[in-house]
Amino acid sequence: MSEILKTEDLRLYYRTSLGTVKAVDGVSFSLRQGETLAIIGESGCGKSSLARALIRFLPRNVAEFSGSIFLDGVDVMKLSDADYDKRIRWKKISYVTQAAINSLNPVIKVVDHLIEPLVLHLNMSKKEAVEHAKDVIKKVGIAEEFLWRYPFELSGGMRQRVVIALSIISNPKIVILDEPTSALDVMTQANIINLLKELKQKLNLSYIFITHDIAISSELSDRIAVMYAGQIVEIGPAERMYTDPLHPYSKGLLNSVPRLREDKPVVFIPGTPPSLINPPKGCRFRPRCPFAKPICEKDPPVVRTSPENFVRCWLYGEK
Amino acid sequence: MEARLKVVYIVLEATFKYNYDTLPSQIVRWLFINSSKPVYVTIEWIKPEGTIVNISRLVLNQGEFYADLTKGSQDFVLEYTRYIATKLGITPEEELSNLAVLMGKEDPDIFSKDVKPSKGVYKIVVRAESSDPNADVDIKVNIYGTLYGLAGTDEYRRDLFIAVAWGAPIALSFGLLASVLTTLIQMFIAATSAWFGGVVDNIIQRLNEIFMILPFLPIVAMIALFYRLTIWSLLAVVVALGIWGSGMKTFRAMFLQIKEMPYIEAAKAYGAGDLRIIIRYMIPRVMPMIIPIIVISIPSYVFLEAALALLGLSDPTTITWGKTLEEAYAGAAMYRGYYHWILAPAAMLFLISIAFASIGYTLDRVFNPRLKEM
Repeated sequence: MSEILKTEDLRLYYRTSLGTVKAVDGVSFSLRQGETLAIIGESGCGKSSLARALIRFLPRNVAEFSGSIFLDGVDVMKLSDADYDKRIRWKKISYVTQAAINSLNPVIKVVDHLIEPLVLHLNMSKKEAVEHAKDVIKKVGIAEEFLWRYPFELSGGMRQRVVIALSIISNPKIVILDEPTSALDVMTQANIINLLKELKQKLNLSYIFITHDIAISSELSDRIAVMYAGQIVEIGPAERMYTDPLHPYSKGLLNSVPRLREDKPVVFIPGTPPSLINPPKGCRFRPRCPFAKPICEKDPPVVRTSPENFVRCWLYGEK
Repeated sequence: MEARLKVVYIVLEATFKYNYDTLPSQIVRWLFINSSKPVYVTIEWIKPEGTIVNISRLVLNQGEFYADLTKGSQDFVLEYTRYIATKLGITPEEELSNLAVLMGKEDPDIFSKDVKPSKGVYKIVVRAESSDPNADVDIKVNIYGTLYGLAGTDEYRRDLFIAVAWGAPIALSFGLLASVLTTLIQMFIAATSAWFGGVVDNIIQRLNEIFMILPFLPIVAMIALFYRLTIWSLLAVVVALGIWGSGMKTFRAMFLQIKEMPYIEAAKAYGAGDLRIIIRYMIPRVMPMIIPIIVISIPSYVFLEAALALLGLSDPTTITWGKTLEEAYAGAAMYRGYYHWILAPAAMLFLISIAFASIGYTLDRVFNPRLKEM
């Protein structure tokens, strides 16, 4: 499988009145063609900022945006905003926002949402775009007539499908899904997950799946990256991650998932995530880590424990 | 050689029927003379009773000649007063009025205050004599009644219904355009202010606050003083001054809220530009709330135009309801008892505000269904 996306030392800092927030701080990973990479972590760990950096959807108070992103052979960071819009946005990579269910404008029709990227980025005429929208809406399992409805006339699941249709409308190679199933009931969640799987196979998509719902990510992902305080602390294949997480934070995170029919208390990691303005020196998990040692005050190395597994921890660096 | 004098005689006759119960208000005549030599003209006014009143004996040259038969002392008045006094055996205390002479019924009442008109067929005979063989003479007599039309007339005998009807499309288009333009421009500026924030927001809001303090009416008066305003340039001034104010602040507050909505975020993510977001995403969101406001505020702009016209600040060449009111005021309509002159345009202003208020409140209930529950 060829690599379609590769980031190296990606940084995205925000300027606030309290200081610089290091939301994404030196993130490197790669995504292969047709693969689903889940990015999991607590709220505020920089997952969504990572997504925003990839789609170049930045707030106004950006202090630093650096590193490199290679997307399908293109060095994206060297492109101007206009070039990015013209060549990358929605053509190669698209984005399903957080709270996607509310991301439809209540006063314009579904069809007008769907044709927007086509008109904006692919220079299609309105007529062509509508024809194309008719094809795509069928692919996500909604009847064509719903194109002429307003978003509030659709159920939550249907709205989610429309938002997914919007993300695949211009045949991108990568879709970033930012918590696509939050605020949906479990049946609808299951439907949406099946739809995403189906679309991935049909259209040969790659997903970057951002979530804090570990159960959902286990259902969909091939590999998992665990993020903590703006950094990826561990990447590995999904099967291994669930059974045998390496990083102490990953262990804590997976232990905190409640299990059915097991009479054991739900474990949580004591303490709170560190401030991203002034993160701890060395390993950022050190203040909460049960295995913390004096050496952890130095920046931990990224260790490759097997060809597929990377972990940022001194526990494995000693070997 | 024998010098022969060629003379042309022209006789014109016209009749009209008068069956009304009151005297007319005025009688005027025009004589049209087309001749290279002087023309001797006599006009006889023959009343239904058969009395002949010689109203004019004139020598006229080429031209058009106007005379108001009901004004000024005319020779025929004294002549007729003597005649009728003799006929009825009454010694009059004063001369008859011109109208009584021409139209009055020949009974003792003719000397009282309420002269009855003589009903029947009147005849006018014009005799003209000229040494120009090609001479031509024509006459036109206008007999004006006291009142005319649905809305009556003003002091110049202009039909007020025409003024009111003519003013309607102007009032409607002025009100509608002012209301729509003001609201849309206001909304666009407020959306821009809210969307960009920061410096742009600061500049727009400070500018707005300056305009909020400046008084509207004196500025319009000043502009009207220095420039000749037509109704459309007045519209431009009203819109330019009307977009500022508390409305702008209200819209900005609405847009600040809308700006944070998830769908705006989504639009940004798929690459919609600033202008596109403002026009396609932010403004349509407030439209349902705005349309009733636009409709309800239409009459206030019609009233504004009327108020400006009453102060003499509006377009002097356009007939509007305000202009009609101003003329009624200038013509002392209240003092002279011409109430209809004021009531006709005032009633229209009243009707238009009730009409638009009703439409506006109905639209409000259509667009904001929650109001029905209340």
